[in-house]
Amino acid sequence: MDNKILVTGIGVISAIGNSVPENLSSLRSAQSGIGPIRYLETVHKNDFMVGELQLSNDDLCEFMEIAAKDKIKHSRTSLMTLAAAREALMDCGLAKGEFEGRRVGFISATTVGGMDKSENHYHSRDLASGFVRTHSTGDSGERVAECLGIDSYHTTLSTACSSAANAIMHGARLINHGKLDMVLVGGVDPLSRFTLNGFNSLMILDREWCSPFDENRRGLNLGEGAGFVMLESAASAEKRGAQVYCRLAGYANANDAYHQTASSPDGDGAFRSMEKALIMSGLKPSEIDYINVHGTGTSNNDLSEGVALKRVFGNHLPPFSSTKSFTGHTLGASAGIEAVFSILAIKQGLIYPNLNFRKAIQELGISPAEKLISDRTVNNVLSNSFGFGGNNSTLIFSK
Amino acid sequence: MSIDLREKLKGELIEQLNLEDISPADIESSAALFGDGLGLDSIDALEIIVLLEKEYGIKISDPSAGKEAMASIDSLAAFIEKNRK
Amino acid sequence: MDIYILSSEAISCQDTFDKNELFVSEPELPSGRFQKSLSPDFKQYIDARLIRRMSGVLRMGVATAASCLRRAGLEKPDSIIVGTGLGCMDDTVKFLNLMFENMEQMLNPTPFIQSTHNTIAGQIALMMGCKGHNLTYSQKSLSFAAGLLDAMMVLRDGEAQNILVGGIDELHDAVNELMELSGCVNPKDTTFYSEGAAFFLLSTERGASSSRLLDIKIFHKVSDEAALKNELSSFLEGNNLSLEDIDLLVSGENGSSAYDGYYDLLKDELRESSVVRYKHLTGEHQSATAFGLFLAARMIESQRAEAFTLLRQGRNKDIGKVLLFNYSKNADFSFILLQKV
Repeated sequence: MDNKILVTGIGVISAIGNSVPENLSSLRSAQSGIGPIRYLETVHKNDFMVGELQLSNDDLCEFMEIAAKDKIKHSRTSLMTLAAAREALMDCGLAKGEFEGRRVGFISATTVGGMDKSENHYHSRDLASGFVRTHSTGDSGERVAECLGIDSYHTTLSTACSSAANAIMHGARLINHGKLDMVLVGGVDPLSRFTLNGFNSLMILDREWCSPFDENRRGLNLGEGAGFVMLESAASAEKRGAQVYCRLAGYANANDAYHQTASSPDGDGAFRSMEKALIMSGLKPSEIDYINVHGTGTSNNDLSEGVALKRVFGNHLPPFSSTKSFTGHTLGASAGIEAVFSILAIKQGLIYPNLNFRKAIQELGISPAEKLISDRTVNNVLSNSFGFGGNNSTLIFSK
Repeated sequence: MSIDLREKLKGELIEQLNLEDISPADIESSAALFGDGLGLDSIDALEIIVLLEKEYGIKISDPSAGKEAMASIDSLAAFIEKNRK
Repeated sequence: MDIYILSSEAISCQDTFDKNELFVSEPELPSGRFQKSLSPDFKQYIDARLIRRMSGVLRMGVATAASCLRRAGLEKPDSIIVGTGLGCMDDTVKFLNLMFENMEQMLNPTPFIQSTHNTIAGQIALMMGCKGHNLTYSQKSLSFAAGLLDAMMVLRDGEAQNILVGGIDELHDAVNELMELSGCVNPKDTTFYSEGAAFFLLSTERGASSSRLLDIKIFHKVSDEAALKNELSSFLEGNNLSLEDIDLLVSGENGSSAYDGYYDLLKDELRESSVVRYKHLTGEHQSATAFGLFLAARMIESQRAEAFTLLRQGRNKDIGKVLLFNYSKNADFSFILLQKV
């Protein structure tokens, strides 16, 4: 097919590693990054387990080689975006700003933008911190595009936990419509008191390690990070002999239209997004080798998603797992991080374990993969990401 | 005192849950708060949990534990009287 | 594939909502630096069960979307796309304040839930029972333009036939204060800041629409005036048009002494065209471009450019081909092209 969308670079930073190799190593060795809060200053420091980066903001600045005078322009959000996006750019074989005439775009996604900084400086009106500018959802993407020498189209999406999937979708469309040759796409979100307290007020946080799809699941662990991929037109990739991981075979977004935060009992939004993505990919459900589920570990999501999975796959449910038991729920970053994991699953022939699982949800009777599976070919991976506002997105990657 | 508590609760719910165009007289003490009755949902349940802690010092750590207590104004008042600090 | 604007609606600080004719009498020009929008009777447009939780920005967005849909005579759209620069500021600030005042204890969940940017599009979908594609863009003053671009691509991909697309931003005291403190409000300028929502029903079916949405281009920087002229000519050439074909330029100039230069350049380049402006009436905010499009669509419909919007009467009295031009502080440019059907 001439209009294939290829993946030619990946980058990620999360609680289980500061790079793709580090994340992969943790996934292979079932090493979760969830633990007690280390850097976030909150009264709840000892109350919850989170998937926090193993880096402070100063560490991140050092990692990204940010000059002292430029620190004010950054938030934890933009630093993580830079880390993952830069890795993906280098991985695809291009250097900053050197694109040989190609139109390279940047599509980011986030739920809270630079809130990590704003929440610490807003009440004191500390303008010197730079929070007024870094707060905006669109600022981190703009900042990183500038750092990477990307001056073609950039934009930011914000649809809560499905954000990065929608960014990936938008990027693919831009290539399909001939507006870009290549596009860095993904998402980011920082750990913040705002989200920690927000989710706590919803009473859906687990004080221990989360157990997605388990009968006795207690809620989610919040996480943070960024995940970016380079999408490229087949023509551009071929012309420069780019390495190719896989292609983006299908994508879809649908709305549950049921409730502001809860998912519907029949999982209709999820069912629709999976079905539409499958139709676009031309694949039958039985051809999916692995599903990276949204699987937050909340009572509501896992049941609703499980119902939808059974509606789509019937008796032929492929192996599935939630990697949020490794990284925590990284909100706007989750679909980007999980896209990288899905792409690695194809490249490495891996199916990741769903940590902390003991017993299948009674109403569903389905069990995720409990151990790493590394002895089979993985050709097609489906990845789900669902956000508040009934926003349901599905991506399908294929070899 | 129990009747006063019920009336107080009705006023608090109306304010906390932004039940515009409803007065305490419109809420029957025995009527269902969730589902068909007043039509409250899961977010309202969480708001009531906050109200219980702030106003009455009663902490509910599991949302499903509060479900029975919140069935109606009557049950809520009974729950508060039993557990308030 | 042709894309039509079946209907449009807008809430602003002028009387623009639910009007078949705009600006029948000369509007009053706001005098302060910050101007809130006029509010319709929201209960006419929003379900009683949903409205009680909604902050101002949500009421504005949902009512405008609902009215736009009503005007199009459709039951529900296939898809909903929203652009918002600041999102739901009121609920965000509310939750931040609660966190601060209560030392992160006993916090109400409602403002947190309502603070996510996509609450607006989500609530619209909930009210309309719309299960299709539902996205929210938030890229400062390009938020609406990004949403519009997505809508056009989704329609051309055949994934929807009717899309409700809008831009919305709210004014907030805390944001105003921060703007003033950080020197964003220049006393020399005549710019005033406001809020508003504008929605459009885009369709691949013509119906009773008066205008066709032809194209949109977004670019972030120009090195100099020559570069901007290049962008303009290549955009028009890409649509088989020349400078002389543009009947009306809708300028997003906002009275900024430092930054209105490129608007002047475009007016020079398009010297045969009529020129209107709107931000002196409805103010500046991150979704103001949406209002510009609303005005353009209504002007095509009425074939009239009101005197108090008109900066220059061009060669052609007919309003056929219309170009919208907007940017923010010499960056984040957009061209939107539409044509009378």
